[in-house]
Amino acid sequence: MQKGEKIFILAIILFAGLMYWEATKVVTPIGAGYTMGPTIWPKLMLAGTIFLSIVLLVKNWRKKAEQEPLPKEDEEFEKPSRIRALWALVICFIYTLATFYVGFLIATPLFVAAILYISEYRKIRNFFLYPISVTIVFYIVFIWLSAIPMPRGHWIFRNFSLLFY
Amino acid sequence: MLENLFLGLANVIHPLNFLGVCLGVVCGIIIGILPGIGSAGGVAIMIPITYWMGPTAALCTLASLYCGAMTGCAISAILFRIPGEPASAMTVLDGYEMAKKGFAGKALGVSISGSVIGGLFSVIVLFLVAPPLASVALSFGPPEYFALACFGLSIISSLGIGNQIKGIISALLGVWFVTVGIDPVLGLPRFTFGIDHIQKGIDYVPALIGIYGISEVLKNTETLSDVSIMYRKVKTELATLKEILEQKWLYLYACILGTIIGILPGTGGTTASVMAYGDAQRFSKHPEKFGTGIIEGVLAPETANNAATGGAMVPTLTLGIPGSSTTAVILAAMITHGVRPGPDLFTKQAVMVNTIYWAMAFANILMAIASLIAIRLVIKCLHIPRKLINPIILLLCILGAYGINNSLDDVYMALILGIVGYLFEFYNFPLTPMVLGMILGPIAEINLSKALMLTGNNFFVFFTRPISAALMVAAILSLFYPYIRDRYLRRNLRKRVA
Repeated sequence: MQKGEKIFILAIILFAGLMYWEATKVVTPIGAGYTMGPTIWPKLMLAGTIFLSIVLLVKNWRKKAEQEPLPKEDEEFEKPSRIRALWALVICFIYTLATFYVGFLIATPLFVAAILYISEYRKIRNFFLYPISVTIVFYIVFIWLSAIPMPRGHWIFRNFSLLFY
Repeated sequence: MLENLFLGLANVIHPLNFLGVCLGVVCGIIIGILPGIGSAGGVAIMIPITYWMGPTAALCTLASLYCGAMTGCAISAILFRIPGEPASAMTVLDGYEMAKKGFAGKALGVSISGSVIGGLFSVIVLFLVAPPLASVALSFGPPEYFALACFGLSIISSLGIGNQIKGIISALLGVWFVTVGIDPVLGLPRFTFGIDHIQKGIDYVPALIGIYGISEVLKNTETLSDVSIMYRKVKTELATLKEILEQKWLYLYACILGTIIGILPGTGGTTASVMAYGDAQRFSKHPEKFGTGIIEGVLAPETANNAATGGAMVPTLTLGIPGSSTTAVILAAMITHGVRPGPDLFTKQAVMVNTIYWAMAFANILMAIASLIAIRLVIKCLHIPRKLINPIILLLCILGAYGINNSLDDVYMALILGIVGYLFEFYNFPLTPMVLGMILGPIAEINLSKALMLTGNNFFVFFTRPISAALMVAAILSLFYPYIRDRYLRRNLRKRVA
């Protein structure tokens, strides 16, 4: 078992423990009759999670730490970059926040361009054309066809969005 | 019944619904071919695109996508040794070997023929089995539904070979997750931390988009390399009638096995294809040839995994219990479109149910045509750099999550669950039990609560009614089966060594 996995399981135990503690704060009203109450079911799930996570941890701890085989140096296979995944996630959060302030039409091409940039896409012409084309397609599908009221943004961005939807 | 069947046929050939079927098949094949997305993720990503459609067209699209993805995944498995999803992992063994020997077209043809036959067989079973099962299910009370949910949960938790504990933890967390919000019986808030948005609970669709869609794209962004293309021209050669008749028993066996496995809650195409391949080898006259590139090695898993599609729809439509991870997403989509699966669906919306049957039947036929005509075009999808696909999928996920309630809070929820899904996958915790736990959890909780209220907290009620008792026993057995099997195998091994 890798060190990271142990930490992850410990995090699950901690999270489930905190939620169990949170569940104890909910008070079942008097006169609830034969109802099992709002917290017995989630408490059962959390207790099960804690118990099994401990079992998993102990079971794997008892095993001798197996030597992880060193990855073969192979030019064909690329080493995955966790940082890139993290950046993609950060960009998603920023995009979600940005759509609220600058609106869908301005935030979307920037979002697509940002994801292309972290994916190391460097074809200059497509780098500008692709985000705009994608935004147009999504505008047609989500705003025209599905009539979803996408965020328009605030201030002058709102006025800009109002020109289109 | 026949009247509804014909009305369903009339409904499915309505231009918009038929367009939905065509769209579903094409997108399904493309999603199946592209490694890493999978049919469940594909359906989750496609849900937002169906918002503008009516419920019937939307469900036709998603059901067809499910069928198309099962066929599409075999194409990349045979040609590029990349299973588009786990259900085609067994197809790689012989399919790729056939392709290496220069029989790529034949391997594709056998896989498509098997997929069509398996798919159509399971639709016929769905048509024959679903209505009687739905009428039986009408007599189900809370104890039966609770037992059924337990059975579903026990099966999914015990399926993760080698990591059952992780599977059970994943399922338990999935069940817990949907308890966030207002308690369904007493109306008390649970785990809401004073946040208004989560008082109403967590919507399935943003959750599923996060778990399947966002986590998958995050994983895909880790690497930049694309699939290397070896084949640019392939001509599909469908199996001839003579060839089909030569293998009729294998076709029939794979069809029956796939459909039965599909019907079991929580299983699905992967289990069906693994079992079909294993049995085909076991009963073969030349088992040693399996893995060297023989037709049976492609036929058995592909027929079985497509047969599982119709099978998996049986419990989904009749009981509201998903038969596989993909049908769990379809179930969530049904709820989003205002369709409540369960026995009542067969009385109140019988035409819609029949339309879904026909949509799946047409999808199976259309995917053969699409594979014949457009195989080169479909293969070209693999030329599209992943770098260009990733932002589109991420946008679909984000806008799809937003579109459910027009709320950015749902997007944040999907992103958070995307992180959860990514971490779970990274540490080898299976995601399917979590998703099925999220679907089955509320069914189990509400029916447990109702059953206890009706009987004055009598826990024996689950064992005194015949159907619930049988289901509870089956649940207990399936939960402990992996441990009993492991102990038995270990004891046998020890005896042999001694």
